[in-house]
Amino acid sequence: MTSRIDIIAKNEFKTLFKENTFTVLLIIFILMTIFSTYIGWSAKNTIINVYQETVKEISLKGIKEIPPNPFTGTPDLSILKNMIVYVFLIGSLLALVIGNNAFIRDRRSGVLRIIFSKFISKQTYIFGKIVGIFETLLFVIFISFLLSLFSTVLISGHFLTPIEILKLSGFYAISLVYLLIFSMVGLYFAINSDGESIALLIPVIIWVIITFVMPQITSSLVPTALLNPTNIQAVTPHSNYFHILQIVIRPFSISESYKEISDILLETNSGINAISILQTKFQNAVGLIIMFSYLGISMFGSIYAINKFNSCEEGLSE
Amino acid sequence: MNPVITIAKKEYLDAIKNKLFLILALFLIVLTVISIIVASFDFQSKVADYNISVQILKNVGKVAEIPPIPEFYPLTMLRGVIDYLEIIGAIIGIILGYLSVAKEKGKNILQLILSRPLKRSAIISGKIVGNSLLLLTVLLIVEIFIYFITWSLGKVMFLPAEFLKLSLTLFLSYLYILFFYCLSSALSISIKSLPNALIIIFAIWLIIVLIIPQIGDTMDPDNQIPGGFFQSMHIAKPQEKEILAKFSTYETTRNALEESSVTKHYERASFALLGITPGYNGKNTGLIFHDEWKNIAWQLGYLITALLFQYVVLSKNNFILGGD
Repeated sequence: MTSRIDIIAKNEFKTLFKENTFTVLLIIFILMTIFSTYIGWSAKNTIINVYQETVKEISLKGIKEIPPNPFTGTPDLSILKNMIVYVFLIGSLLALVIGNNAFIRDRRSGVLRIIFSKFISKQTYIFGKIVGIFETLLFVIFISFLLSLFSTVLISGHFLTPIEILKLSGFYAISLVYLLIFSMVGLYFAINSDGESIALLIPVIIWVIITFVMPQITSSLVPTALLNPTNIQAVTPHSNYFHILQIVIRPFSISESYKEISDILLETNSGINAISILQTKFQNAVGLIIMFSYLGISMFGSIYAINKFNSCEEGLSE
Repeated sequence: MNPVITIAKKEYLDAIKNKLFLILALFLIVLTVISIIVASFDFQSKVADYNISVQILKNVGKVAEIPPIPEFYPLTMLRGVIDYLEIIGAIIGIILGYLSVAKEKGKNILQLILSRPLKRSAIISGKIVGNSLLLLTVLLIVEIFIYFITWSLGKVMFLPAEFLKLSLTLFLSYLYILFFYCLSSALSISIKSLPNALIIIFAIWLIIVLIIPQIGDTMDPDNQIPGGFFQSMHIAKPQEKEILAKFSTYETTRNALEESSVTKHYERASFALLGITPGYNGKNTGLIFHDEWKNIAWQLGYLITALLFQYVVLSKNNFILGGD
């Protein structure tokens, strides 16, 4: 059984890299990984210069109480903070397409009937697909990790400390879990939907709800607020409504949990601090558990759906 | 009957029977309602916080330091609605454009239609008219919901000037969504495989609607600190402009990047009309148009380009006869 799973997984991995749509999204993701370091570095430098100009202006007016430089002591990894946004924006869409393609491709071509008429069980097939998806995403994340590592070293001019490398690895590990959730959602709807377009559209709607709608409901953030790596909203409203939603729904808002955990990993100065913040922030720990729960549910959902799938279906509608 | 009207009627009826379109239209309406409810709770929370501050200041005898009460402008509650129109509205345009081609491509229906004494321009015009009416219907329903929700939540009735601004904003939304419709249908015709076309259109949507505005926002110096960088430094707006003038190359690059996205032009014009952009609350509609005409012209320019692209694609035989 294991060797068959491996064969299906390897085939999935190879086939994906031959597909134009996957390649287009992968190129966008890789380019944005490289670009994110540059944007982070350029923005940070400019803003430090803006701060210095502002201090000059204030000093000329005779004001002696100069506000401290808000960027003093920010860690080198903070120039990668845009990457958080690109993971949940481009990466999650890429993952949706990977999960969707893995099954839709076989449904469209009609090979499922042949596959299931051989000595391959539905479970072996779906496990093979899941392993193939995992390997593909692991590859994408690993490439992204290497690019972030090299670009940060190149721009900052010195090697990262072991703790910084550990934190960067932690960020990419969390990102992998986050992407796997969306790929499993894509896979589930590819198995369960009647048409090809609806199989792609429903996961996109779920993605919109997780990325834009939930943060608005729980924290009164404007829908596109999470697109800015810095949360520019000064305070979360204090009303009972938001207080209740913060307790009840907020842990399920995995995009916010992912962003907060990633912020801690990339923007907290010391490694020990980052770990202690993660430990003390109960909300983040719960968020992490819920992320894994989402992954488990969507994965088991796909396994359950394949058992119910009619392998003799006539054809797939548009 | 005029063939344009016949095609338009068919497009309209086909779309309202389509599950994909209905799900998206309903999703947009639900998000509009959620967004206004959340904004109203947010405002109530601000008023409650204000009342507590006033009480504290009164108790300690600092009556002179009481800040002005938060002002209520119903149109500013629509900030989230505009964000959703930018995202979901564009997806609706994409799906409509895709569906209007997908139902005919690969089944040789388009070739059959063209074998009749019918001009290609009449087909495109019919499709655009039909889908335009559909979009206007969806936006009209959104407007009715906005009106109904703001009234039922706070018994707020829009003044005629506010109603005009809301209608104009929704008309800009129509132009914005129509751009994505044209782009999507042209690409669905010109790209051989329909599923590939859909994913490529989504990749373009991702770049135009989310990535470019995101890069622009990230590069904005004022967007680096919660509450705003210049506010944290106690710098007023005129001074802020003076300081930023010294970084003109950086600011020009940032602005050029934002201006390459139709979404940003739509957002700027809509935010000004709704008074979300500081300084535009209660401003005369004519004055807002005077300030925002460039963004509106850009938006129209994008739409005309997409329309021309659609007409050019359908005039080329290889796209039509190539099939799927």
